[in-house]
Amino acid sequence: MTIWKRPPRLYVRLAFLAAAILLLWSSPKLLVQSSMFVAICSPIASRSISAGIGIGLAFAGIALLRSRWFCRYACPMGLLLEGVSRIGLKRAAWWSRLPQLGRYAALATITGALVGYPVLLWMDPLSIFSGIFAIRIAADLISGILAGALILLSLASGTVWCSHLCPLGGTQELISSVRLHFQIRDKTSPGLQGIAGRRAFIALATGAGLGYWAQRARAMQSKSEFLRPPGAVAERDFAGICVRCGNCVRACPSKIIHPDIGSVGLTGLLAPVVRYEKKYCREDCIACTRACPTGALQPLSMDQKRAYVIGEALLDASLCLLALEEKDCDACKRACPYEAVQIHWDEAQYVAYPIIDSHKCNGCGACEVACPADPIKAIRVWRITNDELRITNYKNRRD
Amino acid sequence: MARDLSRRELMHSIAAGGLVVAGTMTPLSSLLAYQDPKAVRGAQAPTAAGARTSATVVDGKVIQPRRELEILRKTGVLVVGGGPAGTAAALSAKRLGVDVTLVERYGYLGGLATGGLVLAIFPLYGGNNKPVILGIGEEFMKRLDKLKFGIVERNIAPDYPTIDAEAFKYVLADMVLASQVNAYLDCWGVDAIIDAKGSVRGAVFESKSGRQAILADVVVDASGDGDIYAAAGAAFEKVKDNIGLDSRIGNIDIEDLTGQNREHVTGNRDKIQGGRPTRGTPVVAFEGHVGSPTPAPHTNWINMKGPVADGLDVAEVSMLELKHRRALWNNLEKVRSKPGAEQAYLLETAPQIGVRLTRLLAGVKKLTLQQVKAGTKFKDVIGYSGGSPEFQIPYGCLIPAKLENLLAAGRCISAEMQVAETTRLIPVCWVTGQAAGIAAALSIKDRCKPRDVDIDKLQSELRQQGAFLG
Repeated sequence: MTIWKRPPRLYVRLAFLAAAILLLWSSPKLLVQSSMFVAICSPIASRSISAGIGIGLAFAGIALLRSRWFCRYACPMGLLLEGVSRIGLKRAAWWSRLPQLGRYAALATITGALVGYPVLLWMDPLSIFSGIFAIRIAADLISGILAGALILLSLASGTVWCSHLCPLGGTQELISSVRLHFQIRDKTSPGLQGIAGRRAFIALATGAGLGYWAQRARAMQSKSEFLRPPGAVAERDFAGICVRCGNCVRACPSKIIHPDIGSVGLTGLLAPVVRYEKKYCREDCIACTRACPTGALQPLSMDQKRAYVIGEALLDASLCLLALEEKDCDACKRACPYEAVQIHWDEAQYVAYPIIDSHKCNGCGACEVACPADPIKAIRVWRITNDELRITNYKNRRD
Repeated sequence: MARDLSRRELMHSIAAGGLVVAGTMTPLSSLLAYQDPKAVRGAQAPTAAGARTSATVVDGKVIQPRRELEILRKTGVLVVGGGPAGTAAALSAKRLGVDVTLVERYGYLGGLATGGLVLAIFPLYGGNNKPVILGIGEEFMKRLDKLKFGIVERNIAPDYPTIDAEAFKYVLADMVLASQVNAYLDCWGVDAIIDAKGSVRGAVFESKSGRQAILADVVVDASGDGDIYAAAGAAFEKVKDNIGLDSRIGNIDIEDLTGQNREHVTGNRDKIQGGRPTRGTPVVAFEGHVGSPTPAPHTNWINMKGPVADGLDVAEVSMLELKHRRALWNNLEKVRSKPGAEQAYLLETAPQIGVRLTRLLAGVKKLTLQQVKAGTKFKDVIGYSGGSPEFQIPYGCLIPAKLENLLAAGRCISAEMQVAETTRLIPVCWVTGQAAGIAAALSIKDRCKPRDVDIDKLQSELRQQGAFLG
C-alpha cells in the first residue's frame, strides 16, 4: 500500500456513507437491500423476490472479483466501527487467533433460509446501521441496541466485528472463494476447500437445525400477546425474515411500531411489534409496508392495508364505562374508521355495550386508543393466534 | 286600576299593551313578584265562560272546531324549550336589550342537564385538551364553582366535570330571574303560528291556563325535538336513537365522593382481570350498577343507554318510562347485595326520560361527518364542539332551508346523525343556544330576517359574550 492511496479511499468511503444516509432518508429499504447478505438470504427465506435486491447482487458481483471490496470502500457500519475503534482501548488483538466466524454465520443463515428461517440475518451490518436511525426522540433506544453493542465491542476490542464476525464480510469471502475454486492456476489458494470441512458442516447443520427449531419455537409461542405491523407475513416466518433494520419503526407516522423486547421471546427479539398507546394504525397510511427491505412486511396497497388484519378488537365488558353505566360513553364506536363497532342494547341484562363486527374490524386500534377506561382499557386489540384465520379474514375482505 | 284585576286579566292587559309597544313591556319578573293581597283560600267566583270549543265527534272522527286563541304575550325573541340550548339562547338574547320570552314544558329549567340527570358536562375540550367551549356555558360552570357540591372535576382535561342537578336548577332560576327574561314553566309548545307567507310569527302553548298563543318577532326552537319547526312545515330528517333514563343512587358508602378522592372504586372495578375477553356477547353477569360519583357526597349517578326507540311516539316513550323505572329498582336490589352498599337507596329516577335524537333540521347547511373529520373551517362559524378533534359549527346549521323567522338550537339543529351524536351534548347545546339567541336578537335590532343577520356582528357579539370561535 502506498501512502497516496489512502486519502482517496477515505473519500470513497465518506461518499458511500453520504449515499447511505441519503438512501435512509429517501428510500430506506434500498440501503438494507444493498447488503448482499440480505439480498441473498431474504428472497430464499421469504420465497419471493423484489427488484431492490439488484443492488446487493451487484455488490456480490464485485465480491466475486475482489473479496471484501465492499468492506473496504462501501460499508457505512464498517466506517463507523473503524472510527470508534481508533478511540477505543488499544489492546492486543486476542481475537486474531479465532476462526473467521462471519462466513460460518453467513453459511448457517443461508441454510436456515432454505429451511425457512434465516437464523442470523439480524446480524446484517447495514440493517444494524439503519436501526440507529430508528431511535427517536422520547422513544425507546431499543432500535439502536445492536449498533450500541457493536460500538462497545469496537471500543473494547478494535475491529473484531469487521474482520471476524460480520456475516456480510463472511458472505463476500464465501463468494470470492467460489471464484478462487475455479481459478485452477492458483494452486496455492485454498479455494472452496478453505471453507469446506468440519466447521462448514457444523455451520450448515446448525443453520438448518436452528432454523427448524426457531420456527417450532415460534409456533409454540402462539399464546403470547403481541401484534405485528400490517403486511406482516405469517408469524412462523416473520421474525426470521425481518432484519431488524428499523425502517418500519421509522416510517410509522403514528409511532406505534416498536422493536420488541420480551413479548415475543428470544426469536422475536427486536422485531417490530405494534402497541396502541396514543395513536392507532391509520386507515390512510401504508408507510411501513413500503419501507420493509426483506418482505417481512409485504408491500400493500391502501385497500389491501385496510383489509389486512392486524388483530381483533375484543371488549371486556367488566371494564366498560358504558356497560357499567358510569358514563354515556361510545368513544370506541365514534373512533372506529371501519364502522365495526356498534352499541348494542342487551334487553335481558338491561344494559348496553359495544359489540365488534369481526368481519369489519382489522385491529387498527382506534377504539383502544379512544377508550377512556382507566387503568386498563375495556376494548383492546388482541392477537389473532391462528394465522390461517387472519389470512382468511384478509382474503374475504378483499373480495 | 280601579278594580282588582285577576291574574289572567292583568296578563291580558299587558299582552294587549305589548302589541302596541313591543320591547318596552313590563317584564314578567314584575309579575312574578305580584301577590294578590286579597287572594282568598277556598271557593272562588266563577270566571266568565268563553265560547265552547271542545272537540266533537262527527261521523266517528274527532273534530277540533276553529277557535280564537288567547294571546298570552307578544314578545321579541320567543325561546321554546328551557334546556341547555334554550336557557343559553334566552339569557344571551336578553343581553342585547330585546324582549325575550322563555317557555319550558317542565317545572324547572335545565332540561336533560338537570331533569334528565345527564350530569356529565361533555365534551368541553378539543383534541389537545384545550377548552373550546366557553361563553355562557363557562359562566354557568363558574356559578356552579361557587356552590358547595355544585360541580367537580373542573378544568382537568381530558376528564370532564360532573354537576349537581339541583345546583344547576338553582343557577338557572337565579340567572333567569335576574335577567328579566319572561319565563313560563309547565307550559308546552305544541304548534307554530305562521302568517300567510308561511313565516313563523310565534307559537301555541298548552298549560293549565289552556291553549294560548305567544306572538314573537323571531322564534328559537330549542325544544330538542324541533317541535316548532316541524309544525311550521320546515324540512327535517327523522331519526331514532337510544332512549334511557338516568338516576341517582344515595348512601353509596364505597368512596369519598366529594371530589377530593377521584379514585373510582366500584363494585366491578376491583375485579380487574385484564385477560383476553371472549368474542361476541360479553359473558359478564352484571351485579348491580353503582354508576359514577357526583358532587354530592355519597351520591352516584347511573347512566342508562336504553334501547333504540322513537322519541316522538308517546306509546313507546311511555312504555320505556315504566320499564326503565322498574329496571332501576331491580338494579338497586342488586347494588344492595354488594358489601358497603347495603344501605344504598334510589335517590331519584330522572323526572324526564333521556331522549337523545328525534328530528334533525334540514338547514341552510348540514354539518357532515366528513366536514368534521376534515376540520372544515366555516366563514359563518358560531362556535366549536369539543371532541377529538374539535370542530366548528356554522350558523347555517341553525337556519331552516326555507322557513323564515325561526332558528334551531340544541340537539335538533341541521347535522348528519353521526355529527348530531356530538352536537346534541350539553356543552354544544350551550354553544348553539347562545348563537341562536344572539342572532335572533340581532335580527330584531337590525330589522332583518335571521338568515340575513350580519355574520361579523354575530361573531363579534359572541366574542363579546366570551364565546370561543377559534
